[in-house]
Amino acid sequence: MKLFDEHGRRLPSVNDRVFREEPSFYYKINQPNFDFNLILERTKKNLMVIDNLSAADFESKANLLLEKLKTNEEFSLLTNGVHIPFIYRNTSKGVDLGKNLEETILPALKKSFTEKFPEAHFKAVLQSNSELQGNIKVHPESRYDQFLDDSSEGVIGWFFPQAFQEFDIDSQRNQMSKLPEINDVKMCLSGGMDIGAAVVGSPELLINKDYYSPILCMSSFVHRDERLVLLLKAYGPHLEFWCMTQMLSKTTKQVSEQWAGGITIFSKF
Amino acid sequence: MYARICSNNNTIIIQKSWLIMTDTLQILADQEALSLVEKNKRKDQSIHRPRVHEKIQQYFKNMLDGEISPILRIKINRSLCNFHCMHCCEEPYMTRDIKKATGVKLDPRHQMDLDDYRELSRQADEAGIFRFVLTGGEALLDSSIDQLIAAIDPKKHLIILDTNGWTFDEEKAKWFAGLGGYKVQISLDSMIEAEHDEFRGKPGSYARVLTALKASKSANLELLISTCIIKDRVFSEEFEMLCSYCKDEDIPLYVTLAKPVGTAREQDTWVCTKEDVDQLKYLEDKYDIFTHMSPSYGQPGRCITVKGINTVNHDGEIVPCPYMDLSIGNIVKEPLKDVLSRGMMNSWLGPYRDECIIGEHMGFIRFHNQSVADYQKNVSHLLPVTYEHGFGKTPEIDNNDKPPSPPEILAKDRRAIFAIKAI
Ligand code: SF4
Repeated sequence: MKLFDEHGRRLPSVNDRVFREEPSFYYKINQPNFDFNLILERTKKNLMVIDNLSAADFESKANLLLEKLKTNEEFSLLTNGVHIPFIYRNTSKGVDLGKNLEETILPALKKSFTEKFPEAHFKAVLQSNSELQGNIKVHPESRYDQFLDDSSEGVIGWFFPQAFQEFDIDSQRNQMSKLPEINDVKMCLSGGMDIGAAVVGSPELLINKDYYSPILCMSSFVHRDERLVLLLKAYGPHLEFWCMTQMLSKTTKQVSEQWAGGITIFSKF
Repeated sequence: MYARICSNNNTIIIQKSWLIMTDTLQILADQEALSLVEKNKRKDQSIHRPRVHEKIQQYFKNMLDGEISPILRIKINRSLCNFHCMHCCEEPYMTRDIKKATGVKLDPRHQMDLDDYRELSRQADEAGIFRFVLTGGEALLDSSIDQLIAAIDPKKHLIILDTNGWTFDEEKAKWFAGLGGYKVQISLDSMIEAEHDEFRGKPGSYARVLTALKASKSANLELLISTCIIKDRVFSEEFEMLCSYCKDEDIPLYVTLAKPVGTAREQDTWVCTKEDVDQLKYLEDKYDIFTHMSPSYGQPGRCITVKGINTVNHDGEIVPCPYMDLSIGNIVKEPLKDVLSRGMMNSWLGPYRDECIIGEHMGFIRFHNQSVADYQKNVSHLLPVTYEHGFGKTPEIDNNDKPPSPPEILAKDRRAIFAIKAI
């Protein structure tokens, strides 16, 4: 069965709520060149310590992982979409997810981003007075628990930011229960840590002078106030993290051409 | 206009734990979150306009439910104007243009009267709306503007005047403040006198703008300079001069982008690109400069159709953006709330998007301009295009049936509404 289209976007099923059946891809991300050296260097420098890994190891393991996806009949089309390699070790296993975002991921994003773009800002804005700390949990169907387990030892992975382009947040979250599992390749709906690590390694991902980029939804992460969602977005030349409402009205949730959920594949290194 | 944080009692309340700064992530101090000036303004609001203050608090409280509180921009006096600006998007609504194009002396449609405006003010108040902009053409050419302001009710709403400044001298400024006016937006399109006068088609207007700015300050009115940019102007020395002038004079600069509509429909070369818009976003960090798409009132920077500014045409048609000619309904014929909800459920207008669709999205610009052309050819020359002939032909978004409710504790504990975190 065909699961993805030629652009690597998941084909929506009947119950999915999407902005459009076939996305416009008005919001674009350039497929970056993979500079495994630089990604590793940035990741090491910005607090996500990975001491026992060389760039050559990183590259070969990442490529091996991607190859497995490419040779899988159902998932090979996913690799037509934009994909970014990353590495991540969660040095604070068991630490609250919101606290990890506040104390590790967001500061690392700021450092990496402003080092690459010194004129620009990185800003984190929370709507409502709720803190991240103590308020974030993993969506039960996202398969993110597996990512959390493995990342405590360190993972190499690929982030596919536009796999669920134009899906509403609920439909992104329901995806993992619909996608088959593959031997040897672990997969989850993208969340705060993997997206954070991918953008720390490739801080230019959402910045483009010619066109607008999608908004990256960290949909594996569920806020205690379910009206709120976590997003990473460009604001022109700047990068911003938002914890903001997904409500269009009291009874209707956002379904936007610009919002995109991602798929992350990973393996321990 | 540019509030960045809000609380229920005029002071910033940040949960105590946020004040414990870790070495990696710190909460910004007040000066980033809400300037002293802004705080004082809020305080004034609670004393002088308690109803406005109450509605602002209500808006912040309900924002997470997707509640909106857009500005209503009222075009008055058949858009009569004493200028002939090159970039004007109002020309097709003016009697002089209608006469030229159709031969009829006056727009024959029902024009909103004081009773209509009173009713609009009442419905807006009920919907939690608290800002009205009076514009034209040139709003000050309306001889009954004082009655209009009274009908809208400056105790319930902030009344903001859009003017080219031609007649806004000290006496006029005091008069407007005396009527309960809150803020003046004065257009200045170049720091080079000759350039401004040429762009506005009115010799002497630059000098009058300077007088109007001074007059507004001495009447103690809130004030901003509004300027229209065309492609590449943001990179010019002149624009940097204007930014510095505004900084020195402590006047916020409100930037509008020339759009391929109205008088400028044929001026493709004027249309700003993403590069221009990005440059503005850099400058926002350097100066007190903003567009209507800048982050404000706890919302990220984005296109604000329906959510941000809706224009009320003379005949009651509501246009969900200052630069469009397509309506989402008529408030003389149906409730304001219904019109706004319809707009929010339209796939072009409600959902989140960063870019300016009328200025940058070629797909939308084509749809918009084609709808206008078809309507003027087949239905009526008089704009805006009514809902069924424009937006009514585009998809609505699906509703969904599982609205989440806020956790009890968060709902009752909600005080400060958002925080900008410095990292
Ligand atoms: S279309 Fe453009 S001008 Fe209109 S509301 Fe959106 S951003 Fe503003």
